Amino acid sequence: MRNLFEHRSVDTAEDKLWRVPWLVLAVVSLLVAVGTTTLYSVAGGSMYPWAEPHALRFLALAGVVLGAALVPIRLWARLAYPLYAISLLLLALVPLVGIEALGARRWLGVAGVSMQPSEFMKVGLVLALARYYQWLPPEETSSPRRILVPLALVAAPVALTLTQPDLGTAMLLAAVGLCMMFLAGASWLYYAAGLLSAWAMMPVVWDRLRDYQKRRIEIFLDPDKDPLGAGYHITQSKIALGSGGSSGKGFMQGTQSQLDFLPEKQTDFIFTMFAEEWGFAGGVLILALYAVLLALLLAMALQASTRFGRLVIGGTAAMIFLYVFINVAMVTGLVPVVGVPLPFLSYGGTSMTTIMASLGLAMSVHVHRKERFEPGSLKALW
Amino acid sequence: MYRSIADDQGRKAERDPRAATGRGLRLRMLGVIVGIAAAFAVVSARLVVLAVRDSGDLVIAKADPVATSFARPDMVDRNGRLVATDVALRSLYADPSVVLSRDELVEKVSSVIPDIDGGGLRRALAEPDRRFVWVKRGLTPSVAQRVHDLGVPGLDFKKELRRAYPLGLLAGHVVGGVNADNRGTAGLERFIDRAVGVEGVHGATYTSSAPVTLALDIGVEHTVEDELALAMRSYGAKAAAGIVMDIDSGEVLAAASLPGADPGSPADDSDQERLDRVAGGTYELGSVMKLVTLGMVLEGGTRALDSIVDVREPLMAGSRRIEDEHAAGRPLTVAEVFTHSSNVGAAMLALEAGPERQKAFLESVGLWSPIATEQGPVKAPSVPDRLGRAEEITLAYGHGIAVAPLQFAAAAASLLNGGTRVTPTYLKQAPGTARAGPRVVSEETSRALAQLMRLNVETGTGKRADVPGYEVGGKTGTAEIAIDGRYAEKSVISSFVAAFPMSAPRYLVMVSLFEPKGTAETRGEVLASTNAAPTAGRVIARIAPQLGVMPKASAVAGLE
Repeated sequence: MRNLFEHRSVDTAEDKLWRVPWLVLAVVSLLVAVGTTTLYSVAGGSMYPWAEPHALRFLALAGVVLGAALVPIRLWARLAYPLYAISLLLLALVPLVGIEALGARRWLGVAGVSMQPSEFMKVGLVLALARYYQWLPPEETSSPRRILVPLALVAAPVALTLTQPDLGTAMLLAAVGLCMMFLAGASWLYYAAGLLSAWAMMPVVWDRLRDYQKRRIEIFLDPDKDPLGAGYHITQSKIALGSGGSSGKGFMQGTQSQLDFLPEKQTDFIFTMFAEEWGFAGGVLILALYAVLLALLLAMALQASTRFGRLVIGGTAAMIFLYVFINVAMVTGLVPVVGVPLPFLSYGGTSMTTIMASLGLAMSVHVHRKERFEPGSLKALW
Repeated sequence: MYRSIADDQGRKAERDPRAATGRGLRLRMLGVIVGIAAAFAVVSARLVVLAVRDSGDLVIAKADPVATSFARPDMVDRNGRLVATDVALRSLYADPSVVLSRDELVEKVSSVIPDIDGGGLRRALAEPDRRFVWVKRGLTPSVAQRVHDLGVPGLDFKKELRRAYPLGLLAGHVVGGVNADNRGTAGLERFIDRAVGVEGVHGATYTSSAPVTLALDIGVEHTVEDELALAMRSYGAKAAAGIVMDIDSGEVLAAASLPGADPGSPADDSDQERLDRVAGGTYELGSVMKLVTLGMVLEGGTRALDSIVDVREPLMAGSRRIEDEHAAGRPLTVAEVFTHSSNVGAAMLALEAGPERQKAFLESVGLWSPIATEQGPVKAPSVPDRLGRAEEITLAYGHGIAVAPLQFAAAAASLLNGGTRVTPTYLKQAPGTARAGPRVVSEETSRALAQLMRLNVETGTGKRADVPGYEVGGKTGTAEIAIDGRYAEKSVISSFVAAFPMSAPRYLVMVSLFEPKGTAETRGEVLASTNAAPTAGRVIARIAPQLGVMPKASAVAGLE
């Protein structure tokens, strides 16, 4: 692919490699190392079934990230709308031909491989919104007519994922979209108005929620209502965090987790697992690593020369932040239980692929930060 | 459309730096950073609250137990026949939080499994913090299917390893048993836990360890148990014990104690009736001890088999008068003291040897100090604190010293195998490890004792133990049982210690009958010569062919 653009690019691949934000990759590697260690402990001191596949998957995806980072940013900008359109199409196909699992239809089976179009959509939405604002003159960002298009871009996939139903992903898509619109410069007033109307809409939304979703929210408001049933996850998670105390019970010593009281400890509740064994200190250390990662990404966003680049990085940072915040808030009982994994720590290929893909895009922006989108070059490719 | 993108964008960005990198963007970035920092601060604060919260009110749910079960190696007999093995069975448990009606559950399950504790189960199901209650472990497939067909919500199965004993009660005392978690609690099952090793496993995962090979021969074991059961019926005995031992290696080929113990239901262990009379109880065994006394005399070298002992006068031991049951009324040779089973003669020989030598000899053949086998410690012998004249006299004919039959069998084997000390073992020994023990008596003494034993069967009290062709030798012992410090005349333990073939002894057989009664067959007698001896003979007649001992041709010819 690189050959196609060689006549336009003055950089060799080596020049680009020097500009790859290696520090970001280092922080991510550190987080994956923490995840692998924790997964080793989850399995009771074994590299299987989680720790080794987790580490290998990361190594493979790190290669993909580097590849994506070397792809010219112009190509990504050009692919933005098509990728979004394909994701939306796949998402629309899910209710018709999707595979039903655990009472929800979220997966598409293609040639024996199952995939989740909502994950593609997370990347597609970031690209599409960034692409839209790249086109939009900045002074028109807050005009009512110009605010409707990005809203529609966000609303379409959110509505489709809600029907699956997948409340967690829908909320994440909506939140990432709104964050990007905010970063693009949409007026504060829209957000105020939005909050107000959301408040008013609440009864309607409540009626449309599935029983288990209602139950989760009810239990969230009062977990002790059903400590052994729907409140079980969160009660056990809080006990585990409490039993870790300030310095933790020690590696592989967490009773709540090692004795199987804690559910889903290799995926959604891995933070609890880690915090029980390494205590409050360990938990805060993890949060600090994420903070460093987000700070690095925001610094990269400020260095980007195009609006598209800034928003791609901003959207990626927003996604990582939302994953982390929702996950940690969930396991500490601050928000209801929604199935959101902790980036780089939780076991599971789907979310890691999505986040690493976004990270690859953000790196591509940084590698090509000096490039401006010249009029001629865009046209030539269309 | 795309013309405007690039053109406008490029120019506007330059014209309006505020939108691209200016104050507006920086303000928004600041807002984002503040927002992220606030969010992280909130979750960190939450972590602090959870970490420092008083942990005293923590409730640990009693969920699925962590320890699951233990995979045990199989037990096989010396010929590889299966004695004990693990099988995967379904165990039934209930999750109280899913149970709709406790009464319905208990009632319906009781209809399929009648022996569950309904009250206890109902109480366990009512405990608010429980998620897991065992209902019944180790169901057979058909019972599990019937429980499944009940369709009661809240019930579920776990596959577990359970110990199975395909031979039932056979050798139950030796095999021992396991508890509900498949851990050994008695016998060689406990030995496996201690010395061989079991694997903690999740679910029903079989072990890959090699089986434990016992010294037992289950054919021989079955024969002994069969004949002991017949003897208990024929002679009205309350209990019986039998041992077959390899005379050189000490391997126990059969160890039977009736009434038997069931390895499958260890609840019966405390039952006195089912006490292991081979190794778990000590008894005054009576005149069989004269084998040891004669061994001491011959090894001392002061007496030849044909020297004379004057047994015409009774002997006084303190205030007690020692007499022979059927006094010969003439002086006896040393050999005749054995074959007539003269208490007076044995006592006089012991007095000649003196207390130090007597005690040292009992120690050297292994009757004075406790011994142990893989099964655990053998019940320690009861011996007198000091050897006075009375003790010297009674010890000579097997009173005042109580030992477990297994310990005595090992001592007798040591005297008859050529004179090396035998340690009883329940595990099959590698060939070539036999007769490694310290020397107890010389080969000459051992040979002489073997000849005495054979003589006793040919002409003495052991006549009824003879089996043509197998050169059986043996010694009787009829010991009155001390009840409240006094001997009850007609309440006895009658024993027969035998070995065969006596020209080169290979196997030791010991039979003890507890409290036999006089019958028509024994002409009202309870003497060992009338019950234990013929029982031992019948055992030998059946096991000798199994053990590959060829009958002597002369005897076979004589039968024609």
